[in-house]
Amino acid sequence: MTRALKVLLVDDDEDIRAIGEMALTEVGGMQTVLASSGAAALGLAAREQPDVVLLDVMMPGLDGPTTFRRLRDDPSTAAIPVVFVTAKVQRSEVERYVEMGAAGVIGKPFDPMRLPDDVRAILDKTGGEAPRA
Amino acid sequence: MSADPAEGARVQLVELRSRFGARLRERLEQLAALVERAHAGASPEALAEALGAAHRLAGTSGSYGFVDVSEAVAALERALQRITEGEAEWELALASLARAQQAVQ
Repeated sequence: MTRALKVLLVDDDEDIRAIGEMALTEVGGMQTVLASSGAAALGLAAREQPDVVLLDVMMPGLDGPTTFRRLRDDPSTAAIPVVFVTAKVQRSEVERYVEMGAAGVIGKPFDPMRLPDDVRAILDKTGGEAPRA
Repeated sequence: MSADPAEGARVQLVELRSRFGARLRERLEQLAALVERAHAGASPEALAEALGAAHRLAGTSGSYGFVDVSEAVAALERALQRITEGEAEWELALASLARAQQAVQ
């Protein structure tokens, strides 16, 4: 039996965390760790060593891109793939995040029944490793 | 108890959606208060706060399947963004807010 994928979901909106956790855990059979801020995500990522981080872009305090750079700067989290979750899925925005080194981008709103497949598809494409910026 | 994990997930999704739906009107009222404060010319911070709240609610309501509300709030967010950039579009912003409020009646 293969180990369940461990996902760190970072979003300041409690309702998004609730539906994201349900989708990843119940639909996708994944193990989910939740963070309500970028600052909380940094510690959790280092401690939990998730297989992937789903990172909201627009958050108060440390926003998604800043949190991403901090994760990359820490050797213990630098190799963890990060997927941005954002309402801004215009091509230029997606290219900007991929150029930064993100594994991919998932649009918001998302379909909770499809979210786990979308995460797996991105990880399959990158081989489960953080792409180099 | 459901034996099919996908069916179990659907049941949980319906429950989550129902709980979110019960709070949606309140969240829209909070958003409306922020928009009214920004419209009254309170401060750039008030406009930024309204913009952030609209951004969050557009994404969240859509993820819970409230598509009409999500689209109307996304239109409000776009209008607020243009106002932030110096283009007056309060009529469009207020009309989008009214459309979102009607969608939860």
